[in-house]
Amino acid sequence: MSRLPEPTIERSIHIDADAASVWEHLVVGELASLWMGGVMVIEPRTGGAVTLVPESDPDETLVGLVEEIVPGETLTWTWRASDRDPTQVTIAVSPARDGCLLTVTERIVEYQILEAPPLIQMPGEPWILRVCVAA
Amino acid sequence: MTHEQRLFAALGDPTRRTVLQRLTETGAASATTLSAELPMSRQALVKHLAALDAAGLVTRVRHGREIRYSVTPGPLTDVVRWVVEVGGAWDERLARLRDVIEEA
Repeated sequence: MSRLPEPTIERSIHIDADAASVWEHLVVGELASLWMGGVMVIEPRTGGAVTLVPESDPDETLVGLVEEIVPGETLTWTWRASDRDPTQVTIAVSPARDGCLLTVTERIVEYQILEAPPLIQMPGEPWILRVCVAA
Repeated sequence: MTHEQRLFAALGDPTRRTVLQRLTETGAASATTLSAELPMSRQALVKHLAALDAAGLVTRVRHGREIRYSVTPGPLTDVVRWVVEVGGAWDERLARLRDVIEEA
């Protein structure tokens, strides 16, 4: 029989470019917007905001926070659309022969909703997504 | 915890996936039967079955003095849908990223 599905997405690709160039395309919003499928805003620091407004459906805007960043190596953020569970995305970049290897994982995480202080106002919702904690 | 989170938490444990896979292969079985086939105590198995039950992945049916568990495939479609949707989005994004960088 076929294997049961894993509740985590993982994808890897080899890119024929140096890791520094690929990293720029992750942490510079204008460059990330070229491939993320919408307008991407990212503050590349722990606690920085992450927003993706998809071209296909702006109502499905994803909003979140950078959880961890190791410059040039790994970037982790947690985000959610207004009607979805939050997910955690980690992108790792490492040098490889003739370029670099990029690996992305995404999984659903637990989260807490606090009243204050406000950090991110979710569109159309009265509460505040303040802290995201991995399950 | 939402239903989706319970579902993913249940499936996130490799032992529970093994139990679920075993039930899929053998059909309905009691905790006693499963504990004889799998390398874990009946007590541990009952806890895993309870988590799978809470996630809606198995159903309990009483047969005389024993309770038999069987797989409920419905919730798995939620997982498959999430995997397909989110995985597909990353496939498209990463293909674009490679094009953008390599064609620059």
